[in-house]
Amino acid sequence: MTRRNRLNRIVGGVALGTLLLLSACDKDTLTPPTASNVPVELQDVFMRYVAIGTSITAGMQGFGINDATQLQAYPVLLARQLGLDVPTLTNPVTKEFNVPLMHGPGCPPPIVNIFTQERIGGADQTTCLFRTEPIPEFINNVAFPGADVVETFDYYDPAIVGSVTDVFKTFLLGGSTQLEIATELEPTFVTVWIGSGDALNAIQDQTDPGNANLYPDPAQFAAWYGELMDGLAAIGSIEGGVLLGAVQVTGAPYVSVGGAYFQAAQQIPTLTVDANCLATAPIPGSAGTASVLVPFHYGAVLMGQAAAGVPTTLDCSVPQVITADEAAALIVTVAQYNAAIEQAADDLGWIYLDPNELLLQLAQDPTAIRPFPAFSDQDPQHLTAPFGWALSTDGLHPSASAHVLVANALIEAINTEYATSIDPIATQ
Amino acid sequence: MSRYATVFAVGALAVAFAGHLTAQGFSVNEHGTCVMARGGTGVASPCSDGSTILFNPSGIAGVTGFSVAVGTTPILALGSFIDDQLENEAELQNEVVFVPHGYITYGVNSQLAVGFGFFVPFGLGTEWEDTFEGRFNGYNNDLQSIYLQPTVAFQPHPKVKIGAGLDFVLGKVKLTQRADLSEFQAIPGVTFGQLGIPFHTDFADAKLEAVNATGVGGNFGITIEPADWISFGARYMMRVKLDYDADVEFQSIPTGIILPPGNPLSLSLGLDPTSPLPLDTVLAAADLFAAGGPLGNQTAATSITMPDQLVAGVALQISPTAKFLFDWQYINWTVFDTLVVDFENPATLDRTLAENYKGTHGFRFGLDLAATDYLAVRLGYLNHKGAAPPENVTPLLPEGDRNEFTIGFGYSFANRASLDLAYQYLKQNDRRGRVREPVAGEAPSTELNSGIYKFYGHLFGATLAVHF
Repeated sequence: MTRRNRLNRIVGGVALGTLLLLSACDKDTLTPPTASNVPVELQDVFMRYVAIGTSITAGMQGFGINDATQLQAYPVLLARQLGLDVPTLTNPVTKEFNVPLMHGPGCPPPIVNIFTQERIGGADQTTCLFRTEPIPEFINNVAFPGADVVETFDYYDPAIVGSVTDVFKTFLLGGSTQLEIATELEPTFVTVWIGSGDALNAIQDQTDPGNANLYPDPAQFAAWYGELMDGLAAIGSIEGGVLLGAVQVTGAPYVSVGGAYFQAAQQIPTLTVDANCLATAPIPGSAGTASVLVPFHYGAVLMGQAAAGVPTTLDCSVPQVITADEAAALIVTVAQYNAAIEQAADDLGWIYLDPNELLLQLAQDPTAIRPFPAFSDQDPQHLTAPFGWALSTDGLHPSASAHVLVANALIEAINTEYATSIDPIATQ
Repeated sequence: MSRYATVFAVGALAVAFAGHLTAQGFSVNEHGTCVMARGGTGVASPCSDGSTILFNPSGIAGVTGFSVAVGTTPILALGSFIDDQLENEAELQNEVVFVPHGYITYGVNSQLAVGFGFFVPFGLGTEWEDTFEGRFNGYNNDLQSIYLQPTVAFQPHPKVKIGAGLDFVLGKVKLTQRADLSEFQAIPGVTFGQLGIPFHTDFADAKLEAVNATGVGGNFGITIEPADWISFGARYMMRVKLDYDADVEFQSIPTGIILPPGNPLSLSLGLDPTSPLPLDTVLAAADLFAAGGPLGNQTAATSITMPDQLVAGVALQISPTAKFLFDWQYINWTVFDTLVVDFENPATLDRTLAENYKGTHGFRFGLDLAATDYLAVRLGYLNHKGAAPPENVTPLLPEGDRNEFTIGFGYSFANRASLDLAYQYLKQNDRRGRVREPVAGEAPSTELNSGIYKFYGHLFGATLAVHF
């Protein structure tokens, strides 16, 4: 072989080797969040999903919250159905969708028996095992229990009334507002279910539930909601969203119509229910009527006394009971909240979803939503699901099964809007 | 300008003794512009600039007279990190650094020669913005190991040369990083992160700096030339462990976090729960940064081992004017398994970074063409694998598989002096990496990788050699 031939072969070999080596370059690539269950052309819309909301969105059940209940919440279910990687109890951090998980048994652990106030693991209301480690680099479910609409973007408005749930502003969000955290994540898709908490203040108050001062008037609510929407629009990355209406909290079994107690009195000789508990009031702008509402925290104590043989009278004129007029006003107010939310959705070109349609449907099934007091000692679920299978043990927050229904309602709305075919979650 | 002045003028280019990783791990392979232009090949056929003191100590055997060479390799390293989530790109902030080299050789007789070299075979420089997400792993890091090597070589047979050098190593290191409050314990057993403080909350800036490490090693080489058209060479450079006694400075960084009313800290500290609580007030009251505190200035000890290297190669004179060279290089990066920082204050948690580097193989190809009696044209290509395992590609050293291309020229001034110039383009394969550390007690995992590191660079070489 001549040296020239040798050179040619060597140079040729080097060139071939170089090509082979270069062809192996850059195997590693970015792995942005991928909503793998939607068509490729829509994956950019759903790649970064942020859920804004209150206790329902956060995953509170049984007046408690822990990693298990958080993972049962509809935002996690929706994210999973979109094809995003979501956390699990054994793998609490993902690269696509994260939740600020509270370590089990919870903070506080959920109630397992509302009558005895027994909580998971025998813990009490002060038990808190803090956040699960490792904490995620970012969080997508930014909701916290007790959030009112103004608290999604401001913690210092004078209108904000202090609450024990304020601790979640730190535990879950580290002191940032929902809007601030959402802004950092530059979401492409959002769900906003806020407003129920504003109304819920009216029925959870221990001294004068139903008082109109406990919830913002519709104009104020609309202004705050508009401020939240402006904040979201300013992020600039959001390509779509769903705005859910506020829940008509008067329909929650946590507050029972006075008639339910009246019926119960037929079975408990020591319980007397005054006739004023049967009062109703017309709902302005509607053909319907509103009834007197007895919050569980008040009525259950009386029921317990009566059941123990102590003669007890339920007088619905006391301030601890929501009058029919107060209930009607609250119903109208929530309807006005929802009109503002629907208008906001229209303005943004987003989806509006009224959860009350689903809840009314469930209310037709007494096993799904069961008013208190309902005496069904023969029912094995009367302690584990005293308010029906759709409600958790507190009578206010949805159960895991109801979260599935909410997620499916969202999926149906998304499929309709985007012509996608995201699979609904199988229901039991 | 006298020739001495010329020598020192070029040497002045090496004002900044800073290196940057351009080969496997944090090694640097550009220590002579002639060899650089040939793709880093030189173990089997030395260049005449004295760089063979490093590339194969046996190569100086047979030189005549006295030679001095000085040079530098300006390196412009460019790179970035792109995160998966937002696809934001954070760019490396490295400035041009000058890696110096210098060699003196003297032929005692036709069989024996001595020499002295200084070079920086290991260097690392990574500088990121202090807002970069990876600042908690390190954002301004610098490591330099300067080798001073007296060398002797002997030619016991016309076809065989052997040589050895004693390496005196001077090391310095600087590591700068932010501390993440979410990882810090608020109360025993509970971190601030568990109380809700967000991931990657800056609250301290830590700078570790040591300039006084020394070590001793050796560099051995052999050249066999069975015929005038072929030669083989090999060298082995010993590992050198450098123990650093470092000063550590901590500086408080305000978090700016104001916890809203009802926060758990106010409740546990007995403060008014209805008032907002500036988190920095709580941290300041804890006196963390006071002398004797866990984040008070103090000393620390750490060790880094410069790995051993084995290189073997062949040179083929494929025509009267063309020489083809091939080198294979193995660097034993397995010695870089952990980086432990042992703080003087027991209240300061010692830090152990798992590195778990792998031994690497590099393949170098070079072509040295004599265009005229005085002008040489050189080309080269080299490829090597990354030393960092996939789970440990971090801002400290985001390295990986690389391809590099070189071209250069050498001009001889009547055999009394020579000037070599070279350019090298470095392209590292994009590589997934992380910007966070695992939870204490857990091993790093590729699950922590959250983006792509990109890296490339432009290297320029200049060496002036004078023969007396």
